[in-house]
Amino acid sequence: MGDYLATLLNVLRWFLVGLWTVAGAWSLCGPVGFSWIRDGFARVQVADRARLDRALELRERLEGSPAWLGRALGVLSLAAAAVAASNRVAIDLLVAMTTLATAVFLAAAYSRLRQIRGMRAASLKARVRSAVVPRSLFAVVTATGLCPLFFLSVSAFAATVMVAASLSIVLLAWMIADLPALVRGDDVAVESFVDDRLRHQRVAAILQLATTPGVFFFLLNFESMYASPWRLAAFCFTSVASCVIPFLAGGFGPRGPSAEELRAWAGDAR
Amino acid sequence: MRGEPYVMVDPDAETPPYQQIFEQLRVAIERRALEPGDALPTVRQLASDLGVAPNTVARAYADLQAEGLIVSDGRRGSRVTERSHTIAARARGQALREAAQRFVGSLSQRGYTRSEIGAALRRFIAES
Repeated sequence: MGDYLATLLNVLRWFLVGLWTVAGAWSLCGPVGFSWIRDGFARVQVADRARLDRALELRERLEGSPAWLGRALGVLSLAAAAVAASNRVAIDLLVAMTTLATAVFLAAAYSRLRQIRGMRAASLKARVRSAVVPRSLFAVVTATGLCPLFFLSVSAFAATVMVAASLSIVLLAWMIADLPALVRGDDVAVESFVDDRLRHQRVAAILQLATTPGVFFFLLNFESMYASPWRLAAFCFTSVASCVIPFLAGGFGPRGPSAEELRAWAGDAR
Repeated sequence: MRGEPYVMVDPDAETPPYQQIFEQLRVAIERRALEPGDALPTVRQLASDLGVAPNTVARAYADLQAEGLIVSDGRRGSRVTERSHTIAARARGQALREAAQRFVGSLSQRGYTRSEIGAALRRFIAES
């Protein structure tokens, strides 16, 4: 049994080494800044592509190109891969620490978005967070963030860091759902479309980020997980939540404009 | 309805921002872009979206409330009142009457008769 567990942990450790290496290399060498968002919108079917492209260009100018964030995340991922490969730090603690670092990076990104100025237009319809992502989904992800508490007696520090990191990420998703709309007013209808879709896309992706590391954390505490039905239940709950979040959040890809939005596009070509 | 209603603020305009917000909200209600019972953004949300001080939006909302176009209900936010369209229609009619009075008054001072003004107006409307 001991050999079997050691082998399983080793496989998981090397899987994470690979995952962090690929993520680090992608962050350092892959598309920078806004290009991945632009690629996502390339799939949106609209008659007036030029207006959408102009709105995306404007959005890119407003947000700037946070290339340094991607680069820093890449360096962090590669460092985590190196530490995991050296096997000098408990791997569950490493997962918890990288999750915490992710929360710090997200906080920096949120801060940048919060400081953008120069908007002149706003919708007169009340905006509610539940319209971005359902409140029930926030509740589910918050519950998964608390699940590592069942491992306090096994790995107190790592479990505490994991809970703090996951809950911080959920809080950031909540705050990003309520960010001021970035609509400068050059083409209000299309800028609003881009703002809505980006907000939804980001919140859904961040909620996924809050859940997935928990699955690895539980798997890395495989031995103690089977000693308690609560821990096993926590693992199952988090795993299922991690798998269904993309579907419950309505998918990550930007959807095309609704019939009402298309009417707004046609009627408002400022 | 022409899709979702928006408000725009020009910080360089002579009209103060609270007046711009007030006017555009009133027009949105008049044109039925906002229906009775529609929830408006909170003061904080609209202020942060537009990048203006919350007091600016609060003042515009207070003026709209004083005219009976919206009602604020503390934490539940502000809503367009049920009788907003009647009030807006009355205000719209009043504004048209006043503009017509000014127009006819200025032309009368220059010697035009009411029938001449009426005929010119009808011709202009038919041609435009």
